[in-house]
Amino acid sequence: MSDGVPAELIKPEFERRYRELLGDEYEILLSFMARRPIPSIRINPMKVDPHWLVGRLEADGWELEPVPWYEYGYRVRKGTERLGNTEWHQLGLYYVQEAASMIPPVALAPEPGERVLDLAASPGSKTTQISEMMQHRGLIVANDVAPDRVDALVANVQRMGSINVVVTLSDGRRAPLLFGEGVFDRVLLDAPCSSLGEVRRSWGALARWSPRSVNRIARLQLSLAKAAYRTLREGGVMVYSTCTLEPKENEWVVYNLLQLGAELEEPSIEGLRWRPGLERWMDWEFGGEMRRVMRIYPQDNDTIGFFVAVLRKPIR
Amino acid sequence: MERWFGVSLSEYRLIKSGKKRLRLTTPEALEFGVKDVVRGVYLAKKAPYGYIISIEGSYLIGRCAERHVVELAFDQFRIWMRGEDLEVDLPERGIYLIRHGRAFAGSGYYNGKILQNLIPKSRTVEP
Repeated sequence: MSDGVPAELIKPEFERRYRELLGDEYEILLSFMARRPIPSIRINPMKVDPHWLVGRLEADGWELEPVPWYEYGYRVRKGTERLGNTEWHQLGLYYVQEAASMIPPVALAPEPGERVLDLAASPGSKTTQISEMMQHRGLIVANDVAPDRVDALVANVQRMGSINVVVTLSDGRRAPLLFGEGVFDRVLLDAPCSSLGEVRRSWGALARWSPRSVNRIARLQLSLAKAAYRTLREGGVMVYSTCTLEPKENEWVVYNLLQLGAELEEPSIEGLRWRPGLERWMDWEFGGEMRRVMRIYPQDNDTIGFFVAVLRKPIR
Repeated sequence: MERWFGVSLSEYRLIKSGKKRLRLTTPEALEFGVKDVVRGVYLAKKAPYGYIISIEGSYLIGRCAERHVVELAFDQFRIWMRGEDLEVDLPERGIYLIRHGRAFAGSGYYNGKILQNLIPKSRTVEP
């Protein structure tokens, strides 16, 4: 994947849209899309003293560099070929997780003892991170829709020792019926998406991209986001995130949540470079509020691409 | 567990799962009324010779266990994590928790000669 994205994968409409979005930076985006992401791990402080594990890994010849926005995140500059086949991984002392994927839980900022919903939770990287941030206290409901995805979630919750997690299998659009309205202190919706931000891992997302598929998935995302918002208590915080750069899957969904009364919070994540959201795109006017959502391009922090919005349900 | 390891897990809640398994969760997770796939983590399974302790259980119990914990050297630990048994000399038969430094690696059954490896295959390291 180092010689550039194959030209046949780039559809004319994709190029037109992203040149309009990024201008001269379009070529930079493509060059980052062609590079493999830097592997990274998240150490589990509930199972091991992170300093002890870092010392052990370095003694084995690993070279680790801290992820600036999460204290237990490390990029692996030099390590083993199979990060998922070490003693430490199998014991749940670390999780192989892309550095950008650690951002939504940091933005959610859960506290020990709270009630949290992770509506589209599989494979569990963010669920288990949230659990560690909560020091395994309180409750996380970790839901996903497909049995095979739930199997992966259950395995990772076990491996990381996330005691405070209840795993459920249901269509997230039914969340208010299943879990109740106004129940959770914090809700994470890391929505299924067109995964354009993940092109660095696999070009499949680029091959599958089309305006029609984006529209279809955006409708699903909005349904999930509305359901997630209904489960949030007044004064509670919801994070909406995707690993795509598509405005229809990001700002458009957030704009629709604002119409329900949600308010955008000013994000503050140390060490992270991000850009404000789009105020307008094609025929849509999203408004100045979008300066508070985070667009994270691969070239900004040398990660996969991500979008993160922090919303609060006002107290009436 | 309290008798064998000298540890109480009173801040958590135990759940029976099937006839032989025990899971562990928080009071809040236990009380949340919803149809679940699982709650909390698998802690232990009853066997004729005692309770087999899961890797996660070995962390929770091992940190404050007063007895029946085996400290392995790094070379032995690597062999253990490949799923192999170990020849060791221990004071009495029964279940022991396994540790190397600050890492806990599940449990094994000592039959008087061999420490039998009870880590599930899915959690071992491939050579």
